[in-house]
Amino acid sequence: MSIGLTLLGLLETGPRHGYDLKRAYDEHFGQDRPLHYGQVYSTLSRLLRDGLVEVDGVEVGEGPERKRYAITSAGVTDVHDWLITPERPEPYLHSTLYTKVVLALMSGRSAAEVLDVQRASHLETMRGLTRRKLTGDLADQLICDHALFHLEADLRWLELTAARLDQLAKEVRP
Amino acid sequence: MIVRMFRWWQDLMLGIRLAVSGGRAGWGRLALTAIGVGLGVTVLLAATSVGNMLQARDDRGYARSISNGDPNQARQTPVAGVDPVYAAQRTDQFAGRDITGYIVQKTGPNAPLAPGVDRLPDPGEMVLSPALAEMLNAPGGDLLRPRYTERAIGAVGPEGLTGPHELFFYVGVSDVADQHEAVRVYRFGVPSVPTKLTGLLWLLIVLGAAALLVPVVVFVASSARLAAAARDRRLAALRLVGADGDQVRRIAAGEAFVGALTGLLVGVVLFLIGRSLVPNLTVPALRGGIFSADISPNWILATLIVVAVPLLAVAVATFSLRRVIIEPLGVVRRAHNQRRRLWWRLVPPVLGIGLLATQGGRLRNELTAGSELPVAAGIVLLLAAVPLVLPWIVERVVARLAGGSPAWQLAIRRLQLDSGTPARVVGGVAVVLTGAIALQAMFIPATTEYAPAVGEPKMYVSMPSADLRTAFSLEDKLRKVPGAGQIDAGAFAEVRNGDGGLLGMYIANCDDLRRSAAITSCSDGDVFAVDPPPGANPVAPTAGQRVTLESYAGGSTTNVAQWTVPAITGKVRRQQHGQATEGSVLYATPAALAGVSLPIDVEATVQLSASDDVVVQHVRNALVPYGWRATAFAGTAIVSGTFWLIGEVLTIGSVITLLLAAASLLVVALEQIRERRRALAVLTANGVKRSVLARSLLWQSAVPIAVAVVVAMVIGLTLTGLLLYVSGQPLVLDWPAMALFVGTAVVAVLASTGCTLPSLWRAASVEGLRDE
Amino acid sequence: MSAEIDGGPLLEAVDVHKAFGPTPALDGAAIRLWPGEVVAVMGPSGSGKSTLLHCLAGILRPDSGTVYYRGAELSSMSDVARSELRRTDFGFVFQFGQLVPELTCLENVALPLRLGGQRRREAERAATEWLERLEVADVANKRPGETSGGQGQRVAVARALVTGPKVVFADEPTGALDSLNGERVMKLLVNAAKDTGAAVVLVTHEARVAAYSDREVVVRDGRTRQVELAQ
Ligand SMILES: Nc1ncnc2c1ncn2[C@@H]1O[C@H](COP(=O)(O)OP(=O)(O)OP(=O)(O)O)[C@@H](O)[C@H]1O
Ligand SMILES: [Mg+2]
Repeated sequence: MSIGLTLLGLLETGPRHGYDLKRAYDEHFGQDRPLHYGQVYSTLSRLLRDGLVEVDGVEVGEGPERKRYAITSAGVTDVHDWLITPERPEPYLHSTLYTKVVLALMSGRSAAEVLDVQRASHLETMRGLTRRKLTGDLADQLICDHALFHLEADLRWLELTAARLDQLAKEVRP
Repeated sequence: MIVRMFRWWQDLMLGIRLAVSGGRAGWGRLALTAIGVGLGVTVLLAATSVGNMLQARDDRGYARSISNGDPNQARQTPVAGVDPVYAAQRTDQFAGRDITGYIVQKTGPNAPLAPGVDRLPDPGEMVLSPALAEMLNAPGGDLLRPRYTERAIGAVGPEGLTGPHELFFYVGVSDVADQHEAVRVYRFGVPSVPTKLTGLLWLLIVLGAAALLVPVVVFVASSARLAAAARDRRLAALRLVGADGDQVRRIAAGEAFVGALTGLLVGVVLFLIGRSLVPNLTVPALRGGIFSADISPNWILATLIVVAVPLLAVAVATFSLRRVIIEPLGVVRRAHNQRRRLWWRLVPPVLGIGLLATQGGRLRNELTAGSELPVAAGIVLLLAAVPLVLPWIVERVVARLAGGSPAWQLAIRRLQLDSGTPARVVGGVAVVLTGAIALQAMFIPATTEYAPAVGEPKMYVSMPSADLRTAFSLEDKLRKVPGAGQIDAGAFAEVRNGDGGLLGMYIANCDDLRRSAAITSCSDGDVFAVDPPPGANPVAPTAGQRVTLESYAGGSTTNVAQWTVPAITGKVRRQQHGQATEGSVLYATPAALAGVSLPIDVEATVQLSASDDVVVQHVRNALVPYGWRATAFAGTAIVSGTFWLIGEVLTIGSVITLLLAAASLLVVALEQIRERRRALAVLTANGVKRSVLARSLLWQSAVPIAVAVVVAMVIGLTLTGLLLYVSGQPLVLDWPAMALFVGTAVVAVLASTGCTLPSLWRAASVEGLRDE
Repeated sequence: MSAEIDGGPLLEAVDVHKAFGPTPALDGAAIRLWPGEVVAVMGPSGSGKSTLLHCLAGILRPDSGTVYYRGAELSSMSDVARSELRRTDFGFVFQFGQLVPELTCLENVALPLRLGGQRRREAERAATEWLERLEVADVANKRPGETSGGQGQRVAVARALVTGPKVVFADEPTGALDSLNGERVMKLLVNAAKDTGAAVVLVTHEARVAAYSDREVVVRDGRTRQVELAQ
């Protein structure tokens, strides 16, 4: 999962300080693995270099000076492309998918679309597996079933998420 | 064409297949339908037999009759070669039952034969009906035995009786010829006379028939709709796989046909069983009972039933399919059904009211030509309106209810989902109730007209006697009867004056005379002249005048004697209440006529302390020494025979209809439990207490029956009002009677619901969870 | 935009609206079904999937919009014509409850043929073949109430296919089954449909079941959505 794209997605809701970004990230996506400051700043500087963010202003106060970052239009395009590109269906996608759904909601995009696209992609893979299963031998069947069940779990989670869109929207956009 | 016929046939067969398959549940459903329809068919067949039965009884009654009551025909024309029999009818009563028969006196060996009698009895002999013989020998017959002491020489056969339990006798008596109402009989049997009905009686009959038979039809119809929900589901499944509307109708028709046919069979069998059991019935209402052979259905009507019942079932089944036809999705969703529509349900009542309203006063006395059909149709339409309007009203009422305890809530929600079945269940009862309300209201004017209440109980005794002393010995005998109250006895004679004019004379003991006139002193042998009423001019004969006395004894005989008027003791004024003596100008005590040999009729009135049957029996037994000459008649209610018969038939009919109603209720209620088996099982599995289920079930009956009572009252009173208007009678309502009917209906419904509780427990066990 | 008979879609719904009282169940749904394809209809509960299926099958009449079957408008057909269509061209498999409980399984499968006027002998021979094909010949003489859910479903599939339909409508056909039985039913259904060239409209919310389809249509709030993947 790309931290860069996630931070970009967070910036899409408005300019933020690096510290704010870390806090927002931790709050929504970093339950078990909070970001290090270092990671935040190194990522931000990479994004600056690639022209995806820009420095919006500098706040000079008591402590160290704090830069405010804002997303550029190139950055927005990047986020959008990322969001509507389905993830390659593979096990344990959930954190990426979750991030995408939340970001889509935060940025006012249609989360349903993210889900639908992802489902389409998953189903495509599952169809392949099903075909293989129907023609293959027992070993093939077992392997395919294993994969199918995992993919289905992803999708079910997606469905559940879709069903909870309203709830989520309230939490994410107070 | 052939192909089409074949496919029709296939559809019907599929329906039949559906009706008879389905494992235990299917058979159970079929059995319930068959019982429901069968009970209805039984009653309908019984109803078609009433005409024939009455006819057969009447025929045998007329066949043994000696006079049709018409005085012009009282004398039979002689038949060559036949030695006539003098016969007179005598009536008797014992244990609340009428005993009738003839006293007979043969005049030669070629006596005519009475039906069912091998040989008419000679004096000292008698022929009794089996029931009377049995009654005499029974332990309770002590008070009856003294009156039938003759030697029994045989029994009256069935062809001489109207019913197997009729109490009838032929007794040989040596002096019938000069007894009351003796007829010289050359041949037993008179042509029958059709009964003429008044408008009121006709109305009673039509209303009664309608009130008894419309519910039966309703029950048959609702039996044909048993398990409607399961059937709808089944047919919707068929619809889904592509049966079109007509096909589904045909399949449903086939299904209903099987049920109706089985029901028909059950009905015929039940009818035959009932027919063979009927002679064993000894309920007082049936009087002489009914011979099995007399119960033969009118074949035209019976054929009509055989054709109409399956047609009705099929029609009801296909008509009630509307929802399935419109909504084949019934399988997938048990969605809210459409609301019922009102307009077509209102057609019959509006039509009925309209028809009756145009006939105001037309059945006041005689039947008015052209009124019978509209009135009968109006009655049937109004009664038929009840089961039609009821479901709609129940639906509307139930839709408004809410809240309450869990039991109430379960019941109400259930009714909201499907109020049709419970409404149909109580529909039949509501029709019975409606009919009962109207009937009892019609009985009020009819009773005052045809069965007026009598005052204090009295017995009237009358006896022809060869001389005055014997005549007045009767009075002494009566006085010795324990329990007899005041006794008035007297005889009438007519005094022919010299100028040929006839004057009345009343002969009685002093005590009796004192009650008729203001007499201060009196001893036996006195004669009093009565002040003529103002304006009248009969002149009493004077003392010493020789006059001719004429008297009447033994029916047709006028007797004559010579008498010299003795000294007149005094002039008296007749008292107003002494009506028996009206028209008499002389009051005489028996001794005043001591030397005169004059056959005369003595009449006595015995006041009874109460309508005590024992006293009545003793009075009758006191007459035995006079050897059938004296006749006695207990003055209880004087009821018109036709009215009595109508009342009895309606009583029996309403008992049968009520039984049918109860049975029907039970059948439908049981079916409903079977149908809801799974739902009930789910509820118990979820821990709903049995008591809650039971109460909810009761509520499910209570709410519709409450609505039904209101509907029945409204329609019943409307019908009453209209019928009283048609017959020109004032509106009088018997509220306590109505309350009784309503109470009975409510109790019947709740009790039948209660009866289904055991099957509820079975259905609600976890067994029911497995869907069949 | 009516469809032509040859080379056009087999079944097409255009802008279909359907409401039950105040509840809009379909709000502009559209779908095309090509001959022989298996289309999964997915979407959250209450989104209108079943309603769409019923409209497509001519069981429900849409409030507005049109459904074309081989270019003919379904809603303008008579009840008899639509019934006939259900009998001959369509087959149905639901979650449960579509079998007539009074008839044996064999009779249930033979039912559409017999409703179409076939003689009992022939109809039951064909039915027996299908039962064998779906591996439930052993329950032929039992009533639906006496079979397991999986057996019953396969009987239902046999009944849906016995007339050689052009379209099979399946609404949650595996909804009440465990994975193994669900897979069996799906495998038999899809294979049989492919063999006979029948198209399948498959309403399901299970991805593994939907994976038997060729493509999916998503229904959300009564509207359909086809997802085209870029690659
Ligand atoms: N007969 C009906 N009466 C009233 N409302 C109905 C009826 N049928 C469907 N609905 C409503 O229409 C909407 C769509 O129902 P539908 O059955 O098509 O949903 P679905 O997508 O099949 O759901 P599920 O996945 O739960 O089966 C729902 O809101 C439902 O409540
Ligand atoms: Mg559904």
